Amino acid sequence: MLVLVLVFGALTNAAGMIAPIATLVSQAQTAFDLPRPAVVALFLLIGMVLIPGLLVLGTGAASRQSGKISVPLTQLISDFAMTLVPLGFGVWIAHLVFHLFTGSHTPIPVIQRVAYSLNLPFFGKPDWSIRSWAFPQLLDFEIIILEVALLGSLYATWKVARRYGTATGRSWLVFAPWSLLDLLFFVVAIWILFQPMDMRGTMMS
Amino acid sequence: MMRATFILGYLLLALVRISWADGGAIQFQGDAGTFHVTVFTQPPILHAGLIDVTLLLQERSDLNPLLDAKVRFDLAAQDGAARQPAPWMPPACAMNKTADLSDIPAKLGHGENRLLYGSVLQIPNSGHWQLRARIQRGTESAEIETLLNVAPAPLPLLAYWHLFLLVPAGILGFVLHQMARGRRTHPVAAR
Repeated sequence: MLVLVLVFGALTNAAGMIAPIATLVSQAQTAFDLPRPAVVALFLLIGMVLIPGLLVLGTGAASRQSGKISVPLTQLISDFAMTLVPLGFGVWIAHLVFHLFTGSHTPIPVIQRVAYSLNLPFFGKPDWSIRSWAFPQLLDFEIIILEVALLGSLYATWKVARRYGTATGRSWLVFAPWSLLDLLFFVVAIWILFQPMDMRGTMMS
Repeated sequence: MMRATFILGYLLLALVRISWADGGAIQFQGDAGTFHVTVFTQPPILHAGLIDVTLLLQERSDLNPLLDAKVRFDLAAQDGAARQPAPWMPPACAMNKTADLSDIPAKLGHGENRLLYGSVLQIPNSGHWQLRARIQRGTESAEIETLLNVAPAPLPLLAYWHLFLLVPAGILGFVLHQMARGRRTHPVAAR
């Protein structure tokens, strides 16, 4: 369960920072007249618990039925949940690499701002439009990180599916639903990477 | 053997874009004052978005490269190119965009070629753009102008499709490996 929360948390965390989702959250806030923390909490609950729960349960049930597996569903899900770890790790890495490069010079204006507030003007006024180490091919590297992660997850999924399906000769049928989940996760992660960032609370937004 | 050839072929294709070779198209070549100037752009066919502009500055008389000048670029829209909607850009670039397309300093050694002055410019729209390079070296100065024909930005997935070959290639490699291993394990069944 914790593994699934961390894996899908990677996706939800990144999704919460892109412009389309930020707009959706704002619209939900207006439509339901709820305070922002409540809407954000609801978004996290849906993204990290509700949707992953339904997806994993559905995938597990499909895999169990098509592979004619007799082990309990919870045990099957526990085993296959670990195969999503490479994908979750890949999304975290791709996301954090993005922030590392786009925010590389941010400590400079932050220090300037602190010094300015402390009446130490020798650092000058903070320049929030400062450049960064971001470079055009950053997205290429993020895509490659996610692809390696997908291949890792697919390989792990295949190994677990073989373990369950060797006896019945149905490894492929056990593997198929989980590989589709891996692909879905990858497609959503790629979609997120291609969206413009919405950095709330920063001068860039 | 076939697998090795396939992997090598894929790697060669995948690495073309990130190889450190010089490339691009010559957009201008001519004399300006005491200088001989060549302007390159990368990619050769320009699309709205990020382009790499580099300039080779040479002595007009003996074509020796000059490495102590100050070069600045100005980019101006022609034919209403600036009125079109802004194209999609990679998120990292969208956050770090060139706000002003005038007086952009071109740094020496900007690319892998240490003889070139260059800068990455972000062309917001397709159309015709006038690129002006202002060169200052000691008391000598010169200006050159050239017109860039910029095509609309490609759709994001079309611009990045080659990067998505890694997954099918990896899966195909794994399947071939499994098949080869299966044949080795059960040679009779394979026949």
